[in-house]
Amino acid sequence: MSKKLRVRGSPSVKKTGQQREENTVTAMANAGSKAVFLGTAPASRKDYKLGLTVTVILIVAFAVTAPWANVQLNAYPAFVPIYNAAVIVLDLITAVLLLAQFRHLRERSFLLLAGGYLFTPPVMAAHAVSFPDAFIAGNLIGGSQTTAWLWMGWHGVFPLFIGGYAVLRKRETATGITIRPVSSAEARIFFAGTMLLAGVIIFFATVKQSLLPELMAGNQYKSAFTRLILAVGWTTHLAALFLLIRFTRLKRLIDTWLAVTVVALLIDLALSAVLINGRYQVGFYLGRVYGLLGTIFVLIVLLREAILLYGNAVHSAEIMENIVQQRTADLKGKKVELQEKNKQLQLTISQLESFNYIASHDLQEPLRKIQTFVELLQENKYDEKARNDYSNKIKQSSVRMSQLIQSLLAYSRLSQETEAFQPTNLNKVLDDVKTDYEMIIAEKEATINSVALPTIPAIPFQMHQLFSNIIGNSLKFSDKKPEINITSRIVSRDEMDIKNGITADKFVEIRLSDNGIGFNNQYNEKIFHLFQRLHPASKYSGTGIGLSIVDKVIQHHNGFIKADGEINNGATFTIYLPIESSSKAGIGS
Amino acid sequence: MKKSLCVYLIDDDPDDQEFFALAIERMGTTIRPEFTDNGVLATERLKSDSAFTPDFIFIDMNMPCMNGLECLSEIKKIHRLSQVTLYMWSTSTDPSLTQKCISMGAAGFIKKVPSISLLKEILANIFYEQKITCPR
Repeated sequence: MSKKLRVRGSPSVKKTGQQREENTVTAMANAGSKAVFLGTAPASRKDYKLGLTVTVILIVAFAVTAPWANVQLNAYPAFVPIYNAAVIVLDLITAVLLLAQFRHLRERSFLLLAGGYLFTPPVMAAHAVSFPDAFIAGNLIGGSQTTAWLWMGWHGVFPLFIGGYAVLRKRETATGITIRPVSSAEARIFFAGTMLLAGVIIFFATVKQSLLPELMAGNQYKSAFTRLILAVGWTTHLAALFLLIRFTRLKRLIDTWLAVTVVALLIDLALSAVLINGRYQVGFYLGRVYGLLGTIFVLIVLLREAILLYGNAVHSAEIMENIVQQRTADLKGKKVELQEKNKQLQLTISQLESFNYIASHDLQEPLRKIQTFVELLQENKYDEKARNDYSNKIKQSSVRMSQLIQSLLAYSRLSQETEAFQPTNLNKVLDDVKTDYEMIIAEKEATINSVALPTIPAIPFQMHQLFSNIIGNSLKFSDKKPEINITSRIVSRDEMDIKNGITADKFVEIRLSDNGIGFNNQYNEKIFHLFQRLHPASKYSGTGIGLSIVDKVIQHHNGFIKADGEINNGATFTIYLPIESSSKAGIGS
Repeated sequence: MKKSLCVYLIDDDPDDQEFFALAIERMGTTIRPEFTDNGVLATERLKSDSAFTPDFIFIDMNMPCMNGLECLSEIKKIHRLSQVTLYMWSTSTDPSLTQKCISMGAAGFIKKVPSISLLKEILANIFYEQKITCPR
């Protein structure tokens, strides 16, 4: 995936196959760019080599066979229509592919080239039909010169299309010149003209053949004029080759292979007309093999590029698909993140509402009592006992008020999240808490048994709050000498009862159990709610905040807490805290 | 002649019980206050003791284990007490909570006040509105 993604935007210097593929991707990314199209694909070093190799093979084969070109063989007139049929089909397919190119590019050069391949079939068809002895004895249409003139017409005109293509191509690729795209109507006019040209050639070669000089005497070429015409044909091909090399510099794949095509046609001409002096000699047959090759090269290139580009398109579509999927996944991640933030925000709002509630309710309660007791004190100022009672009550209420304010401050401090996580030795935390409760422990003759606790990533102050509140409750909610047992062990996530929302692999499980008054286990969740008290204020003082603080600390540390209780049989708090900095943001920051 | 009025306060706070008792006492009539300090015990008592039918029940909103609303809905389930006037009382309230209590069958919501004499006034008004003879 990453490799594919890197492709985008990396400029290519060397035009390797891979690079071209990458260019395709880039081109696809820049929608509308026509940098890489079927016929406009740049030629790679490999393509040059192949083109050159084929050319060399063609020339060598020609050189080897040339001495036997004029050896007379048997006459197979049917060979010509069969051969022509093949060339017609191949040329038509090539023309269709080139036209498809033209539809995209709207360039004159491609129009002209397609015209060349469309011009050939009617002339070749007429040539086949007119070939002597092919269908009937003698000529089916035209006369003795028809076939030769058609052949000359084909070989004379086709290179003009290629040469014209090269010239137009030069203009189109020149920098700074914007050429108006060809309209469909213009293209139709051009093709009509091409067909007309073919028609005129066929017309003169058949109906008006008597007006033309004679090229053939039977199956033998007439010497002087025929040679001249052939020389012109040859020169036209050479000129086309020159123009191709000069103007296109064979930069594109199609130009390279057009050049090879022209070479093949040159050899065709040489073998089938120049080096021999009549039909059915070795050169006559062999030249047509070169002619066929010349027809095939461009077609092969176009087909090969079509298949390659199709593959690239599929490949690019896959890349796009992957990108889209990745973006979608990213967006989903963002959505989840937003939902998480939203949840946190909701939690904060509900916490603020709780604060609002306590400000208006729980803090008012002791104040209201103080006011009432003051009223009673004033009414009973001469009754000493009442005076003492009410003074004490006022004092109790103010102590409670002070406790509430302190707890609330502790609770609100948890929300600030400004402190950093750091390795926190829980043994030290426990020792500090014991020191805080020294007086009560001594007074109630309490015992606290604990094993060695680990050091975990945590906020020390919050850990202090956690232990202080749980141990404080155990000391408070007791009717006999409090005994608190603290055990600790490392557990993996699989060993835990909790199934949902686990973000770490290893936890420390700390169990704090006491022998106190316990609680009805049906309240084992409600117990953590803010301002939830399970015992009447008359028996046990409490603010209803302590276990809310515990719960909040646990949440903040990505931990879990469970409470188990039984009335008059003690309470057990089991807490799970991650022992390694988890991946979740917030820890370690 | 109807026997003396019985009012029942369900509140876990002993101070509030004391304030309530003082306010009733100062009305100078034969109003008998009864107290229970949590909702669970109170509903148990009301369910089991069919002879105990208070004329008024006052329920504190914030109590351990069973809060005022739960207590209210439990008492509303006791058919025998369908005619009893129920009042919620608490240090603070807001219109939506008051509305909720009334929709659940409470006659009203009393705010705990910082004075015995004020409390006496409020309770006297309630008893008077319910057309029960008692001195103002």
